[in-house]
Amino acid sequence: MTKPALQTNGSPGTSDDSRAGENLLEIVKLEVRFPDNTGPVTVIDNLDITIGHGEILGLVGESGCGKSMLARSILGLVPPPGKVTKGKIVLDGVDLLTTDEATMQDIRGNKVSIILQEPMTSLNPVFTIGNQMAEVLAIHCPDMKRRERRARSVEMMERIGIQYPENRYDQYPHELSGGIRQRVMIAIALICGNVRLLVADEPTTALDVTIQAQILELFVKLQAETQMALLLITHDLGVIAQTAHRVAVMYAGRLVEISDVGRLFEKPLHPYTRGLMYSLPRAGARPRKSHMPAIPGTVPNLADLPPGCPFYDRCEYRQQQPCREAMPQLEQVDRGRWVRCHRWHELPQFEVLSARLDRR
Amino acid sequence: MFEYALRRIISFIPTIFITLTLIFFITRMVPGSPISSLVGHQAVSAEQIDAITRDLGLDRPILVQYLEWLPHVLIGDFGNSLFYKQPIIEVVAERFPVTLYLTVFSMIVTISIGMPLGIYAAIRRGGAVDYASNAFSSIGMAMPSFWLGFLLIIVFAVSLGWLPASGYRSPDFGIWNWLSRLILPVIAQSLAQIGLVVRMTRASMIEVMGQEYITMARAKGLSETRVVLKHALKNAMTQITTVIGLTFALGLGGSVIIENVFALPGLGQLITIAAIRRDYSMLEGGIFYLTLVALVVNLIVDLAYAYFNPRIRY
Repeated sequence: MTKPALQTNGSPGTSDDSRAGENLLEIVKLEVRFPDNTGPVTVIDNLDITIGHGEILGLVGESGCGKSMLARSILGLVPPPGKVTKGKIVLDGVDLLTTDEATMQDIRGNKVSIILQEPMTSLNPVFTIGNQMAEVLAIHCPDMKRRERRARSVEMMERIGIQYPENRYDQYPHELSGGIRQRVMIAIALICGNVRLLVADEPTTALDVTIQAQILELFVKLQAETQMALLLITHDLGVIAQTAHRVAVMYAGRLVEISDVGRLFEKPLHPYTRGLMYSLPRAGARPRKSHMPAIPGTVPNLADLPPGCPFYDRCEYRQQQPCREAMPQLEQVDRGRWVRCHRWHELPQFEVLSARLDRR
Repeated sequence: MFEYALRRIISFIPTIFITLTLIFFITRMVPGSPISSLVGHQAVSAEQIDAITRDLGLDRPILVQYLEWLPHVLIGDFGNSLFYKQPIIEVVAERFPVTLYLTVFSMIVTISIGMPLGIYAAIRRGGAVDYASNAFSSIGMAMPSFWLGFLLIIVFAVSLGWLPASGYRSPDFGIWNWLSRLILPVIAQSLAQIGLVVRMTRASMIEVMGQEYITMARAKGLSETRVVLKHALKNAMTQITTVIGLTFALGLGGSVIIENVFALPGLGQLITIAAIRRDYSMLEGGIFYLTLVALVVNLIVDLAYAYFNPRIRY
């Protein structure tokens, strides 16, 4: 699989080291909260990120760190009772958080599309594939005739690599395999032909490995063809390495590291990012029966965050001072490189993965 | 689908057979006989009663009666009513439309109020309409329909004088004459049914609205109205149809009570009177037709499943 070079002038960093007008999407100081018995729980805290035109931004983190919530915030679909409580999400100069519902409906499925994790449950079981594809055209391209919508849907399926598209058009979701359903989801997302930003929320997690590779390849191909931007959400750094230009690592509702892919894999700065990399399985790198390396512990309960660094309890480089005392801020390390860690400059050199694993 | 419908229709035969057999034995095993109803208060000698009993064949063992009765019934011949002296089918044909109007109108009222209310309560969960409809459906289901019927008669017929208290006129007497006598019975019949439909609609809509494909429908840029009425409702319809079918069958049973309260000459009233008089053939015939209607409605509900849920293939 070849990853296309970033062709447009993508922004390398967070909002304050990018120049206005260059970015497709700018998220500024976003905060999303859910009410809880004990008060509001902040699931996304003061988050800044930008996505350039035609850029593939990978968003990594474990389950429950706020990745999906970020994706849904962009489309204005945070499930109630959750709410975006602060910040801005600016797409092509329009703040999506203050715009009216009619404009949002116009943007959804048209300029910004989303692909959900579970292709088994994100297609409506009682409508045909064709109905669910053509429906998008009916809203966003009202001038199209019924026959044209069908033709366009079939053509789209063909482009996405679905065999026998004419037959598929009249089939129901339960008649198709998971891989084909995910292709249908992609076809639905792109069918209008105006997509500027595609948000893919763990698009390959529910698929088996061979299908995963095919779908990722398809993403890269489609991104190169359409020059759309892609926000690729995953918990799998391997996926990021194959596809993304730039990576944002998220932990407990906050960004902890931002980097381009090359430098991140060469020298991950945040202990959490390092942990994720150690956890990557490598063929032949490990004797059989040895334990799969993993980050100890789980993501902390957002309703009850301890003071200081949220990663403290799981961090192998933690120190009472200053980690327990204060929440680290996102610091700029280099152009386009940001990290949220008090001790990033003191950490030992990151060892090459295979070497470290071989020694075990 | 056609084949499935045909198979289902054939399966009606054993169902009806069992129902009729049960009716046959139950009616004849309870104390009392049609003779005493026929004779009434006239002074009749024991010999005369024996003669009539022999005439009707009621003196023979019950199994013999059953075996003689069965072949006739299986070809749909219930014989004549002891009291009306008319073939059963004719008596039923006269009464059937009244029951049909009552149940069908009640169904229309139930669906057109219950479903929208349930949908609205589901999408505005915890809102004023949700609480109000919840209270309303609890009250509706808790009130016995005969009691509600009398209450309606007292308020709207006796006190206010807006509508006739009871009785029936066929549509030949004019639309208003016909309809005005059905309004109160339909209200009395519908209220409990609405409660049931509201609750079921609300519950299944809430379940469906939490599904991923609803988020996906919104993400396509559909308006909330289309998300609810197209994507959510069609999924919820399978469960809602079940309740509607059930309600219809219950309504047929409920008509027995409502028709007596409002003196409507329908099938329910006919059966009640037949039961009191021990008019065996009338009772069997009446129940046969009621059962048949219930079975047909069930069949329609099952076929509707396939339309609402393509995963079901017959």
